[in-house]
Amino acid sequence: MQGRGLKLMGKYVLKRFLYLLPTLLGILTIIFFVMRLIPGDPVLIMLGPEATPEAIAKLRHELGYDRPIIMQYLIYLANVLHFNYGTSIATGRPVWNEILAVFPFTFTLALAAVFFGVLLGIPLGIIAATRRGTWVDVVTSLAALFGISMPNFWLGLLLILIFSLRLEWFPAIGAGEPYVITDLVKHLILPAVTLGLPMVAIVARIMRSSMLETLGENYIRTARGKGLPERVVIYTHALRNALLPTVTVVGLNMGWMLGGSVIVEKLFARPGVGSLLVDSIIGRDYPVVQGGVIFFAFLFMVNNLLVDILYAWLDPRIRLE
Amino acid sequence: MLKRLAILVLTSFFLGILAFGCGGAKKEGETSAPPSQKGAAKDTLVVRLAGSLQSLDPHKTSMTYDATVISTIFGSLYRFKPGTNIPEPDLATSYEMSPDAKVYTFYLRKGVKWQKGYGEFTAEDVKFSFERNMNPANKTVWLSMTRNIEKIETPDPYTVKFYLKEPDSTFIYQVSNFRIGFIVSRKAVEELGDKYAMNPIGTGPFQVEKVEPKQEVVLTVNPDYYGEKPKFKKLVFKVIPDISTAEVALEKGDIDVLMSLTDPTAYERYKKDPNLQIAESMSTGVWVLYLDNSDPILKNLKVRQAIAHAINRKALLDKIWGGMGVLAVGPLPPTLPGYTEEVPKFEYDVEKAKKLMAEAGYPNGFEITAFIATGANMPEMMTMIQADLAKIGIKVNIEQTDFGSWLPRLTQYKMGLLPISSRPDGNMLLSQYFTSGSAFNVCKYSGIDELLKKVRAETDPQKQAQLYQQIQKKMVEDLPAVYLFHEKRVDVVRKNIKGYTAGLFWEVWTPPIIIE
Repeated sequence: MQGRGLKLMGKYVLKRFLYLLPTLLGILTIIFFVMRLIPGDPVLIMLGPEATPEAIAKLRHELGYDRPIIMQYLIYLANVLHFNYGTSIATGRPVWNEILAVFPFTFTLALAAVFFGVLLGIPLGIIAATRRGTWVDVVTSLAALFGISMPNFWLGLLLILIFSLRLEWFPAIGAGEPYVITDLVKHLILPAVTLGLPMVAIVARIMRSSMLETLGENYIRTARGKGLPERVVIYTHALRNALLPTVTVVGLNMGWMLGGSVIVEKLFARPGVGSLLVDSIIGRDYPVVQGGVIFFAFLFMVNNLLVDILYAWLDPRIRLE
Repeated sequence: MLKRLAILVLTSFFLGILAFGCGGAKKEGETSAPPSQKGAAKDTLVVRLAGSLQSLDPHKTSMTYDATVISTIFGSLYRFKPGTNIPEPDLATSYEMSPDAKVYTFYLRKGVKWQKGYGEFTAEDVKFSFERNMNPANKTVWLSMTRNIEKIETPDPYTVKFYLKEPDSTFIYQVSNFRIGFIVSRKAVEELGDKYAMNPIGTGPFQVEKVEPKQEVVLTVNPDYYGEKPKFKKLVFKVIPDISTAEVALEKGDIDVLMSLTDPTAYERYKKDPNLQIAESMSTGVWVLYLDNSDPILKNLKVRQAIAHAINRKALLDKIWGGMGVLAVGPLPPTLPGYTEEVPKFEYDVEKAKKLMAEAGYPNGFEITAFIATGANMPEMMTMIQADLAKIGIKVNIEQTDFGSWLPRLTQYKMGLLPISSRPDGNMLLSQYFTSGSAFNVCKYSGIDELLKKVRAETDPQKQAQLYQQIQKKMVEDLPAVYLFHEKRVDVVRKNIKGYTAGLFWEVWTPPIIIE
């Protein structure tokens, strides 16, 4: 993209960011009020059943939870505009720190799952498309169905039983020694496969159908008519176009995974955004839930923006508006 | 061609896995494997925690996971002999109680050092610890347990005097290693402030080396510990929330101790496993079905008695808990003084229950909503109780919610399940849920207020036991709640760990554990 194209994209990005702000505000408002509508008192949960009414009242006052709810909301809004997301009721640490402490684990897991999904899914999709109607196609489709249908809890447990207990190839628990790359990767494999297998299925299916569609196009017939080897036809001509829907799907899935997967995290005893959010909801840790949801919403929207830009870059026919 | 490419991709992927796998397998024999990965190294004990840590400050957390770790780092004036609720000297070597049970004098152990060079343990630390809990500004969770303390004096660095407002002969339990009794270092708390929660300084056998609240805590032996030192070097607590993953880890040897097993099928399996051993202790708590005694229908004693006769408690214990417990005849468990079986019995008898319901004026039963939390087998238990009560015409609607919402709403419901966890003595067990002063008086019962006051004022253990017997009898006669059973605490431990005792509460380490 040259000069004018770049400027157009710049305007587009700016516009998208401007749309982001009211959306985030809306999400923040909904989460704020919903959390306070559900029963359960964070102060009581924190102080425990032995707490006296005086202690509870005192802490509630200190944390500002006895003020009228609109006031609490406005104060929170004001803080957020100053990038102050408050402190966790449970740990007393800044919400931002809590999120950043676990986010790298979620990010690497999401990346690994996507990598696995794409690495296996694209070739499988291509094979199914080019061998359409043969047993290869049928087996691949069945495998895809299986992959999407398996509950990830069950799959994860199965992988642990086989690869961790019986074969002892991979560890079952934890994220690994910090800063030791080989250890971190070892601990990543089983969770990544658990999260990524449904992705393999989805990617394979989409690759297959978009590949079939592309292979039916006229320019493919032209390429074959020109006498190009089949390999070139598939890789140089068909693949590039068939990849487009896959890019979108993978990109969007990546966005979802950035919110963490509490089931996989709990199963493999990995820290992550999913567990942080769920545990905070259960403990009624309002600031962490609010901050966490905003963070995730922001990432999700930025992720979608990147996917749109990538798509526009890959397909010159698309104009960003 | 494409097929070849696909085969190449798939093969390299699986070869990659194989390479990692073989690399991993080779490491097993190496001693350089970090202890947090291969726990069965001879000098490390690895214990599973079921949830992440909130705080290691004994006064700022009531979570059981925290309590387990805290019990290895901190000491108390007295502590419970392992597996029992009998206090023995710890940071204090002896004590005196005034005849009216209002003044306690503790003589402290000399030469005890705080971990990591925070000086010597003195009476100042004891005064500081308790006053910390007494001051609402400190936001400690045990404020209510200090309500009876008038003042604390330290006549010399090794003597502490507690002056109580009302006589309390059970005070010794409140200065033991359960909840409020842990002593913190004044110097460290003043210096570290909020950071103390993740960098605790105690006088116990272990000190903190590394804390990752959501993953693990690594502790090493305190070189200055005055008692019998551990015979191994490191203690690691690993956070593994999912029970199936924890069971796999135990079978693999990645963890050595799995506490509080509640799954009966796993229990059967582990009993037969040659690599594992079971350590049990009888709890000093009780499971009850609480009933709101102020409700127009439930205030009728015959109705409550009918409910007690209608529930098949043995089936409850056997089917859902795999028999891991003992049926209750009253609120007090067999392990506490005052336990007596000379009380009215409520055997499973549906006909008798129906008769009682008719006598009470409810031959066709009534409808009621029961409240439970999801977890600890409560839904399964309540479903069985629901079926039992249906036979005598009581239609039970079950409302359940997560633990967070459950606790504050207990008193809003007329019926529900309540697991009262182990307490050191009958007073602590009963005063929280069965006395009129408490915020958690779920049964709205006041029948033992006077008796408990007498218990606290009674200094003769024999007479006290008799008072407890009276309480047991009265609570069964009045039947404010249906007493279901006393849970057994079951810990599963690797065979090569010798000398492990399942503690009564959440303690996990006491001598003489040896790892072979």
